[in-house]
Amino acid sequence: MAVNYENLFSTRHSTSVKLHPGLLAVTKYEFSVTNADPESLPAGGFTDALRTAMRTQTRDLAKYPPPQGHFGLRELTAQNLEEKRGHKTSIDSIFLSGGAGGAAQIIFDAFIDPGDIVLVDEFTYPGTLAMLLLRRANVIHVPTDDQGMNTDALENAIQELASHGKRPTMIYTISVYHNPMGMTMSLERRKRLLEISHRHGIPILENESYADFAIDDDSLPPAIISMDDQDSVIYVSSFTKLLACGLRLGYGVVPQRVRRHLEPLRFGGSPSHLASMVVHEYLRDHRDEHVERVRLRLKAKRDALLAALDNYFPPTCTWSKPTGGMMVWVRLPEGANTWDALDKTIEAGVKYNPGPLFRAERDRPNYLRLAYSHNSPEEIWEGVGILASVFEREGVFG
Amino acid sequence: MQQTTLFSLDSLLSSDAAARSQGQMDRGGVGVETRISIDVGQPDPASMPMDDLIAAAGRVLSTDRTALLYGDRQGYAPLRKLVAHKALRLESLEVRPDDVLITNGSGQAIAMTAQALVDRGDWILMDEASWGVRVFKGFGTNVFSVRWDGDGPIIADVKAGVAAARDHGKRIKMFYTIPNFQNPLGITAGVERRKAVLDLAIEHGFLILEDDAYVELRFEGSHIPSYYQLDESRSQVLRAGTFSKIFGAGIRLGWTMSSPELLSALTHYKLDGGTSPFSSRILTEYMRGHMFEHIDELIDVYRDKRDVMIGGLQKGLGSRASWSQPEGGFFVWVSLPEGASAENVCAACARRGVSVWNGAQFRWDGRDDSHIRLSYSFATLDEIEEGVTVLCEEILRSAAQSDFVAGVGSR
Repeated sequence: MAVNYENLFSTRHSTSVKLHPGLLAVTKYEFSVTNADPESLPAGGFTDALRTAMRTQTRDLAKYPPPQGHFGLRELTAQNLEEKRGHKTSIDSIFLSGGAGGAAQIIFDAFIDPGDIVLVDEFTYPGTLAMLLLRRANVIHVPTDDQGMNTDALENAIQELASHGKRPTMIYTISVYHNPMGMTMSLERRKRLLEISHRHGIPILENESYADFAIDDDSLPPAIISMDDQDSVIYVSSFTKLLACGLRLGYGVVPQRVRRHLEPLRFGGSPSHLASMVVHEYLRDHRDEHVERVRLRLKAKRDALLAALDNYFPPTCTWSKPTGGMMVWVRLPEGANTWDALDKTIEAGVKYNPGPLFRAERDRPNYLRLAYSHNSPEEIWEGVGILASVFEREGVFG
Repeated sequence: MQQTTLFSLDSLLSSDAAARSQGQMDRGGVGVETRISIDVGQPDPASMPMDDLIAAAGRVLSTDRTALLYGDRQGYAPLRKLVAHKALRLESLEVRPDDVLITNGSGQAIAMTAQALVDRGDWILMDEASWGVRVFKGFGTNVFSVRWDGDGPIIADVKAGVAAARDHGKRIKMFYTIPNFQNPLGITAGVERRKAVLDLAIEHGFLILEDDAYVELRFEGSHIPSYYQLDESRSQVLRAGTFSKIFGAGIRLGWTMSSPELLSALTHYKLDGGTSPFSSRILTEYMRGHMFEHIDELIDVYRDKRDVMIGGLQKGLGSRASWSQPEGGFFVWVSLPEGASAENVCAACARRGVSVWNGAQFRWDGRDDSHIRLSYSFATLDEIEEGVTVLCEEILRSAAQSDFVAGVGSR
């Protein structure tokens, strides 16, 4: 007799986070994944880095990595945060994780109980959203525009909750090249957001996974965490978007008093030390040239996607014009249903992320996200053409 | 003026976070640098097959660009196939690659299982001393400790645990147990004992979480079928293993075997984008050509180390104390002579640069001052010899002090 698992499972967790089964399909035109571009990684340089790392750190590969991960890579990360994001921090505050998602997961483990309220952008990254829903968090979307999360609306939401005796546990925002909306939060909004966080005593979880992907200009406002003098901001980001997603490496930066509570969780278990060694070895010598190579490739792809949308999509649709990052956010006319249409486009070899995936309530089906990091510019052009013809045929454009 | 604390962390933390702070390992050390580590169960660095590994890594990077992309959530399929192949060859166990999940070390599998199954206040069974203490401290669990004798978990204790939970209006949800070369006890559960535990699991509907981290490293005696293999339904057991012990802990790769239903529930908690495809491919490429010969080499290496450690204990303590005689794995559990204090011995060893672990850290209630866990895996043969000599001296010194105190007291 098989075990009846039903009465064994934990009741703290939701088992019914709705995902679209079509997203597991493999298609020629993959507009649904933000993969680092494998072609931008030079095999020779990376293999050399791997050899050097393995020769010089053999003993470390046998051992259990330190709980917060590879020291050299954390040191490099601290330098980079200071130089590029204006944030001075100690190596001790940084822990490595399995992607930025792995860092977010351990933060949620420490903070989120069922029913806790988390305020997020109007649309937000499906991975972290799924983690919150799984923990039965009460996720509330805050209106968000081309300057980032609308801080007036945020303040209203907090006051509204307070009038019911409730206080959010956390504000989660993607502050640079937003996933999926594409914009970067303005300096003024950052200051206001921080002020709200301080005044109401609600920590901010800042996700800057896309900060390395400026395409048009380099003048990002400083990270929110760099402006915080009250230990109110927790920061997560990723190396793997830059180098290779297969490495599964990201990191978190936490205030000391949060760090204490992650220690018993051993920071979620260190990620592959082999991957950390190689990334450290490679980025130490090649970071800037690599970022530039990635920028040029992303620029060609983004331009191809925007041109293809201009060419193939009707004027009833609008879309973001990102100056960095890896995705374009498309709005179709009211009544369009990108969730239902996905099966049809997959049959035609095209995959994208339907808008509802970015919403806790799985609403707003007239949006979709197109990531341009995976395919070549030529494929992007073809793929958008196919996508438009399927939408046309299925009446998705209205 | 008092510094304003703008967000009150304690009021925001999840209800489990506070409980977890008890789950940490404390080496009981002082400010002296450790010269000899006979505490942590990590692999022998000298046995890392660097040249073959680098060659494998080079081949992967030049031929398989998918190593750089996001992977399958269940884990790299050829690695799952390799896990199945290893089970067949070493254990005559037939398992389908689809019944295998690749994790970030076996620790992740155990933590995910705890997340999936355990609510605050739930009851579980655990070996009387266990590595798992630090994991489950974090989940607000009620743990009933099952004593072991030389043949494994004592069945009467398993039954008593089931009854105790029932008396509290609860049921046992799982038994977390380490059947082979138990960590820290160094004993292996016999097959009849395993069958009896499994029968109770089926009767009372609890899951066996079988932590089999050391199964490949048996130095002598014949393989004993795992709980997973004994369970015909293949659904009563979740078995977790690792490449940390036979390859290296830094690679962070483990495997889990269970029913597809349970694995899919676990995968629900695996939102880390899949275990590193990069490391998975390099390990697979290396293991394909070298796995079994490498395991054979390791068995020789660790058998020698164990012999040196056991020999040292015999020489230094004779019949004054007792210890387990592991047939494999990494650990020896030392029962101190009457009156000796594990806490004092650990501190005294640390002052002499030798790191050993107080057995209390493996007890759910933390109450034990008469056991020490040793590991022979990481140190060199010379270091083991020296470390054990120091340990034996300190054990005898601690026992003698207590004899002296007792003697004074009786006057």
